Amino acid sequence: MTPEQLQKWAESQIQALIALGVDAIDATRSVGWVLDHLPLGADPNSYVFADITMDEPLDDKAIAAARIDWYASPAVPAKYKRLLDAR
Amino acid sequence: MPANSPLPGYTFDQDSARYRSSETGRFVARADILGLLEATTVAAEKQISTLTTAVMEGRIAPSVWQEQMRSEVKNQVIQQVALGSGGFDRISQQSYGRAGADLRELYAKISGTARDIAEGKISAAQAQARANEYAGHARSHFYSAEREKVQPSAPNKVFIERRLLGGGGATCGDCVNFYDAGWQPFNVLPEPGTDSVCRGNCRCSLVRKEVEASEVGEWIGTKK
Repeated sequence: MTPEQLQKWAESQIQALIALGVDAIDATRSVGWVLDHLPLGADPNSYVFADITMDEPLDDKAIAAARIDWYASPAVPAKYKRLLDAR
Repeated sequence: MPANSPLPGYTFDQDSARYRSSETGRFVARADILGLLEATTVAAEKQISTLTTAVMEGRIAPSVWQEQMRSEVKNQVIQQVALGSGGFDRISQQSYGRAGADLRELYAKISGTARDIAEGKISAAQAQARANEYAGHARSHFYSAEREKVQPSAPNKVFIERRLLGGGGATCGDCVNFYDAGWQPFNVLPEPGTDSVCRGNCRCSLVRKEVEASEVGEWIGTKK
């Protein structure tokens, strides 16, 4: 794919994720991760990442992402949003 | 979150290993904690099911499904570890290690399933069954983390635990055996979702009771 085709592909995937209920920021992050890790010349429609590529450390960034997800989750009632930030 | 947030805040009582509302001073009922565990797991399963339907129908690429699955299970595992630990700031190194090792195994399974989807080797039903199992996997981390935190309130007291079935008519034979074992010494029964064929689909829970050490024998094996 040319860079322009990749960009078009990324936009279509972001739109598809948003249509599935994924919020726009997460959809953009997710597809951005795919583009960042896609080997040069690989077809993003059929490429599958090795598990080692998926593994990233459970660091502050991972905790921050999990915290944001907790606050945003409709499954967590407002009264328990701050539970995991207990002092 | 700022200290003057309109949302109620909490503290975590290390001695009792329980959350306490800063507003009312009351402990949060364990039933509410288990309710959160269940609600967040069900929400993750629903989202993962939606994503899996979409990848099977060709609406999203396997690589995008793979990344979404990775994020979803990672968030779930961290949240359930934090829920059992007393919050994000109290996750122990042991829990981090267990979570990291488990996530690496899950990533390998997700990659394998993504490959099978890309190559058209599995049916929609098979893909859904696998994805659902990955989604529910985080549940066991809550119980492991929680076990690390609880301490008897006095030297002459000990905890005993019992498995409660949660799978309705779909409960697996392993879980029925754990249930039939009744009350057992602390840490003897496996966490729901481990050592059973239902794995991430397990809906059981683990209840705990503090008893006099001298009375443990009267409880073991019973369901009273």
